[in-house]
Amino acid sequence: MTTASTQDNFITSSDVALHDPNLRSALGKAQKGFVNKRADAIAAVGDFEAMRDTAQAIRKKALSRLDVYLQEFEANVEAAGGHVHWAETPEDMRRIVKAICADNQAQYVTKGKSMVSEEVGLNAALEEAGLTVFETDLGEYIIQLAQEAPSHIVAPALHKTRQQIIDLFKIHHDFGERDLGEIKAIVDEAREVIRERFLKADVGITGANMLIAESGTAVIVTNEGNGDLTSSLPKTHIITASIEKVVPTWNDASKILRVLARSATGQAITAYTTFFTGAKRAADLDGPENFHVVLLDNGRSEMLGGEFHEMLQCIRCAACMNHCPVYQSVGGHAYNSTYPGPMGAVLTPLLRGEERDNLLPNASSLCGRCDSVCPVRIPLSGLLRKLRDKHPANTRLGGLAVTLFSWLACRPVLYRMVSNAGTHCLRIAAFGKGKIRRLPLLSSWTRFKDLPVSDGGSFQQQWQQRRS
Amino acid sequence: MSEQPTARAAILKRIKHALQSSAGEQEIPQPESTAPSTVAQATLTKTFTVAALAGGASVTEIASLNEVASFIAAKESALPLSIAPQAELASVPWAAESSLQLQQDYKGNNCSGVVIAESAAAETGTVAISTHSCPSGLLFLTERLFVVLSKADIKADYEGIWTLRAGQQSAERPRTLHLISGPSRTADVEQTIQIGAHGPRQLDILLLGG
Repeated sequence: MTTASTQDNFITSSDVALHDPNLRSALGKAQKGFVNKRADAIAAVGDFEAMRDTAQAIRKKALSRLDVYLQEFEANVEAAGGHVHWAETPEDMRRIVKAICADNQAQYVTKGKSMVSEEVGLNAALEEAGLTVFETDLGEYIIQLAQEAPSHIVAPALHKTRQQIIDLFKIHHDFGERDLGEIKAIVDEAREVIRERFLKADVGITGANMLIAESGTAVIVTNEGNGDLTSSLPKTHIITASIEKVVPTWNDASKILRVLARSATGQAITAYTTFFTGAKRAADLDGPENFHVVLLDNGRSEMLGGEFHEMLQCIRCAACMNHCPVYQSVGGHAYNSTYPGPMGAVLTPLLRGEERDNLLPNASSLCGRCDSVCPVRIPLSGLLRKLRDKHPANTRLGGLAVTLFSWLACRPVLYRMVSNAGTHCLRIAAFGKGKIRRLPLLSSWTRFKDLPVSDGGSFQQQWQQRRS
Repeated sequence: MSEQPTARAAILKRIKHALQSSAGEQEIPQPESTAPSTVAQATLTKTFTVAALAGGASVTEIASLNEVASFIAAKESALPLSIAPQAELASVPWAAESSLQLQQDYKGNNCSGVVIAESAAAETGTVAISTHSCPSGLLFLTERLFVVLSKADIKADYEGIWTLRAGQQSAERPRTLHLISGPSRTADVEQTIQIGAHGPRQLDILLLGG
């Protein structure tokens, strides 16, 4: 797995991303698809805004009594023959999952997509323990072959071009000379390779999109069917989930389902939505004999009730990153986190809290598109602003400039005089060309584009002229 | 895993403390309640059909369960057929269709499968099948899945499906409830939808009843 060095931060990583032609090609193909499909799905339903209101209310309700619902969930999992484990830290989750695998003498592990398992670095820990880990979601499988981290929480291999995937398959699959030019050929080959892995796995690990308290049920939302095979064929099924995923009832879960797929992939519902309640029953013809849910905290309980509480409402649909102009430009790896985009720029500094993570809230133009598409109405741009206030990213000179501007902006007469004089000076410096090609202290601007100069006075002067 | 009780207690303690500290500051809006649906069955069938077709399934009306064998024989004789262990399907005259090759094992060679759905949601053309009546493997290891659905079992929405199990204790519920809304698909290569990732490449729904 490729991991960022401690020197990597958003600025250095995004610079690399902006100069990666493969990434530019992959992002160019992906983004319009997500945005257009979501728009079509929402246009097809009567009142998506009401659905958002309801989903938001459910997430707020769940968080308002999180301790009660988690204990209810735990009791009902155990009543259905399962076990619930509590992990305070990523290390706890890795240790618990390794112990379950060891208890079941596991050698082969299949995995469905689980961002929580990515958050805790589960694959590397299992491999260090001598287990063979097979990712089964096609996107996760591709990046496992490439030894990379996901770049998107719904489409982990979004950053890969078709040719890059073909090259990976030809290196890792011993099928000789064949034509993989068509997407169908790529998908069929992955199906063939992964099918036998489903059948020989000892343990299957999936994530959970929701946990339903009233029955101790875990829910996964998929399109490929790999999650169902991962969870149903091995003798042991482990679910890795974070504590905030709980909702009180099945009726609450369906309200979340109505906004989740529409926001994520632009589908009314995904091909498969599956509900797991405990272990295999005596009369069942298949299913796991052992059912474990490992609940991860990793800083979430400390967010609860605080100024970033609303971030815990997130249902991981990825609509915010799909619509973010910054994510669309640099992709997910620039964030150096399991969670990229606006939701990741809020969550990563709070959950991981490394020094470099404090730059992430600046990875936003604060245009507000993330706020407008979030299905549970998380005020992402507001949360990003709060985080910026906690860790100002300005240089000393920049900070001085902001302080000076604030002082000046509070003195309207002086501000008017200075801005009028500044506009006049710029006009002289432009020699009547209407733009300046080089300017001291603004070289990072003029390196890429000319600075336009007003030929009609300052903004305030023009405003006065238009009003009179 | 001896640290389990400690971790559990610590997490719950932090949650309780955080919620007590913020109590009174948050106004929790109540989600709207779900009103029971009274939509006519014909309307539900029409809505279900439109949504299932949009999800990539085929939908065909049949008059009786006896027609299932001849329908499958006409549509898919190349693959052997695995039949879900449901009493109603046992009464279908499979032997009358000589072109059908039946096999119990769905884990080995490629095969198709047939199952009767327990219920369905019209809102998204979704069929519901649980491990009380069918093993999960048959639903996902087959190349093509035929699902027989009685029109009388179509509910307006997901909440209609849930009501069938309302009040059940956890242990009484099926281990797994599958909601299926189309054939298996992926968009992980260049965000282009490709049918047949890991599960059935085709989903055929046979609507039963007048």
